[in-house]
Amino acid sequence: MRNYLIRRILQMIPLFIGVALVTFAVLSLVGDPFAQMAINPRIKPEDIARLRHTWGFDLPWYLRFFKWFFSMLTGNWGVSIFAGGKLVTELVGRAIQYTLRFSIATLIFSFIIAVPIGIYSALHQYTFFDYFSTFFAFFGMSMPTFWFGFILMMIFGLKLNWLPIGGVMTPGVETAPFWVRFLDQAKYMILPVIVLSLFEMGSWMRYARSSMLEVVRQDYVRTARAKGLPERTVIFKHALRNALIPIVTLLGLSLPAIISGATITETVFGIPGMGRLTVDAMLSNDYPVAMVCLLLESALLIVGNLIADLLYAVVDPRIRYS
Amino acid sequence: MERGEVLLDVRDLKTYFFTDDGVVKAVDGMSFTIHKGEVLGLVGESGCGKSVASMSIMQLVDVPGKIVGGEVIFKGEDLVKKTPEQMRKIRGAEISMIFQEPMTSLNPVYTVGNQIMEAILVHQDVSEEEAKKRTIELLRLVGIPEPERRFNQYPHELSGGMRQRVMIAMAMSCNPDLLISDEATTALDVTIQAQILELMKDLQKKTGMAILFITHDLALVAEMANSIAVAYTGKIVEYSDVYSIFKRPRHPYTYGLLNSVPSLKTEKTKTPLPAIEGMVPSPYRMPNGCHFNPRCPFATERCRKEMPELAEIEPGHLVRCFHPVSVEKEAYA
Amino acid sequence: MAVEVTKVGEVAGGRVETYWYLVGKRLRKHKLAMLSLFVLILIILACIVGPYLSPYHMAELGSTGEVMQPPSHAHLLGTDELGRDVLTRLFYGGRISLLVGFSSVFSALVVGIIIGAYAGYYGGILDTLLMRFTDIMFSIPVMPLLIVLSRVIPGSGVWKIVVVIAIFGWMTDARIIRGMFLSLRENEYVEAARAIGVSNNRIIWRHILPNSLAPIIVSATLGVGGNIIYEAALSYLGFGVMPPTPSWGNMLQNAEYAMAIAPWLVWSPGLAMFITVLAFNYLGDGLRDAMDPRLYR
Repeated sequence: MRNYLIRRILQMIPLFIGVALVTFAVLSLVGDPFAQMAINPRIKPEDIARLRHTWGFDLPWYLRFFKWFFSMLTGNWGVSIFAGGKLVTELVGRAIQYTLRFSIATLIFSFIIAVPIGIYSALHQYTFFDYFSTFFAFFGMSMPTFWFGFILMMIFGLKLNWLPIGGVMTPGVETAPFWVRFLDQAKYMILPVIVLSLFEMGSWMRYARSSMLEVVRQDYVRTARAKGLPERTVIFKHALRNALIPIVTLLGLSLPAIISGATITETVFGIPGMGRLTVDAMLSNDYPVAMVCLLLESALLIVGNLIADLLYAVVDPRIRYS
Repeated sequence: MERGEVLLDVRDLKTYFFTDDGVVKAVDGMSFTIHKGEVLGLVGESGCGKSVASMSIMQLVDVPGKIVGGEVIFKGEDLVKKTPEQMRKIRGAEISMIFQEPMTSLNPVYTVGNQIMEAILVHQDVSEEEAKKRTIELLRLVGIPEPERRFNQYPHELSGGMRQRVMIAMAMSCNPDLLISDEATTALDVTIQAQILELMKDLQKKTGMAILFITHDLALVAEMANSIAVAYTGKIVEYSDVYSIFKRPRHPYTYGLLNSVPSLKTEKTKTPLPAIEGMVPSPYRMPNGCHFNPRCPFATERCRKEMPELAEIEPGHLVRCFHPVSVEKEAYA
Repeated sequence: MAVEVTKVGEVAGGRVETYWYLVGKRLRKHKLAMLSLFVLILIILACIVGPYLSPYHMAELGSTGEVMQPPSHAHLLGTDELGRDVLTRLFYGGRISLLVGFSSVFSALVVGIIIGAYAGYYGGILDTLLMRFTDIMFSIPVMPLLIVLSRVIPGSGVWKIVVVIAIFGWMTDARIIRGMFLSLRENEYVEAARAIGVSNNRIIWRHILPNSLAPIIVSATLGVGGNIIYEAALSYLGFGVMPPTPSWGNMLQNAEYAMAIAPWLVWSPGLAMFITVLAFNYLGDGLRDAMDPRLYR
């Protein structure tokens, strides 16, 4: 098991470097971010030259890559070009908070609802419940998230006026006591979380259902019944445990999405999260911020993969002891 | 040979599958009897209904299948009429079953010991340590070396033969009166097959349990069984003790099966191996009359119209045929 | 003694039951999938033929009085902020969205199959290299890079979007094909073909590939739906299809403003997209069930 872990971590390193290279290459296509600044009369040419030097733009690309890569690793993330010189760490830190909040809420909400429903559907195939939940799952997976966001905003925000239509909190509430703030923020979270969860729920449900269906057909379930075990034991001890294996690993793979945020939903609801930050940075050629965001996301994707594999090993003894 | 009292009496069992494409009569009026301590070999090609019959005995037939007729009298009581809870108590304790694929028949995420202990704990009122002790004893009994170590291993860490031994241990754990072996050795190498058969024979002698030995391999059946029932398309076509079947096969199908097995004799004469012509009919398109008639060299008009009944043509020898073969076959080496 | 020997595959009555025939039979039983197929054909026909039947042109600007009109007899789905007929634009937009959906899936498929087939068939170093490359592509965050690429690659046409989506979409299919090839190449008919001297390429394309198509077909069907949404999202953000060419995505670009005053502008393109994608999903699911190899044992 330990060997497996070590091997996987070692494999991660070249992968990460590869991803960094590709990301770097693609962003370089955008061109020199400093060229734009030359147009701005208020920025002195010496400052531009200094910035160029700090970011290594006066070096050939391969050296620039290493210089940048090294500073990424050491946490020296630099300063945002366009956000008035704010530290990138600060910007990212703030955006991550929002993204984390929404993503974790979405994950918990969709997982807790969808997986049991999927399993129940599998055990009661062809019943009304099954057809209905399958429809609901497909509904969720076919719905364009941004459009659904608008629809919800129109209905609940405009027509009924129950919920706010965007943003993360009512202006002025920062000074209010904790509970008031908490409830206020929760109000803002409801619609985005529903929108984000919809697709997730659909896919978890289908996944859980098909995994359970597959397991229930297996020979060892037949053996369990032939042994005279009560049906409840057959389902919960024998079938479920096996059905959850792929689901758990999928959970590991959805971790990276927690940090990268959902760009579209954030745009629709006006949430200043990581997705927005990344896109805005890329659009305004805010090189330092963009690179950090991209690299963070890639790193998390890779780590997420690793965690998924590890979870798989933990949960399936066949992987552990071979 | 003296036979003990009747343990299992299957009478005119009918299990049909109601599929979208039609009704499959997997078991269509099968009758056979197993006595205490007896080994009955149920022989037939794939699709003849032998597995479905065994699942029907265990009442484990799943939708779209359903037992639509007949009785399964076990120890004087009809299993078909039992409630699921009553049946559950019988399964694993009084009637046990082992299956063909040892690799997939064991749950990969639990240890071997856990799975055997489970069977004991569910049927018997003993403590966990007691159950563990018994499990290790069982592992030793079925010939697994280092049972204490194996107890904590997972199925994928064992070889095919060992896994099948574990299955046998699991099946024996509550001292069943009847063991159903559904092609238990088919998936194993020949040498391992021989070992497992030896083990089963040994255990059978020790415990006096009866075995319903299901297979398509005639050689195995000759080794193991006291009586043989030959099945074809959901019905028993011949039923007698092992010697009669091999020495005097009466049904053309049985005769054809025995003939198609290479023996030392065929080697010498270098004649081509006779095979039964045609194929097992599709369950959706059964021929009229006797189901075997399209392939039978002795079929007559009557065979194409009427289905023969299972009739006793010699004491203890039942055949379902209008023209049973009357040639004495060479003793099967 | 004459016994009728039936030829392999032939059923009394003569019809040869090939795998695809059985798949078709099973699919036809799946009512929802057939309904979806029907709906999709309808939608596709509507988008192709609709613009010819409509009295309006997609870019025909209405007079000031006709701007932002709710649905009426004249304009069945209302007009947008420039007075253009929404229904007509919906048909045109449908053409674009469907075109993007199909071609992006197709291109991703071609790339994925080539990479997966060679990786899976040859194995060894080639496989490792190709799979590492696939892993790297998998680990790259897609959305931001899609945006960058669509800015950087010149041109504003529909094909740019197709290329951009395909660049990040081939990996799943590659993995699927590779997996199929890894297992199928062990089959006896491959050995037999090699023994006769069939060239590797021929084995790959004529022998193994047709047998690996089933999961690909499912993935492709579901993929069209997914890519339609993808394109819509990109167009909504302003990176996909550029106005005045309509696509279901960019018709929602002004949705934030339209929400309050012209809700029909928000409902139409969204519903069209939703129904189309739903149909693709149900169809894909039905295909998956119909082609399930376990049911053909």
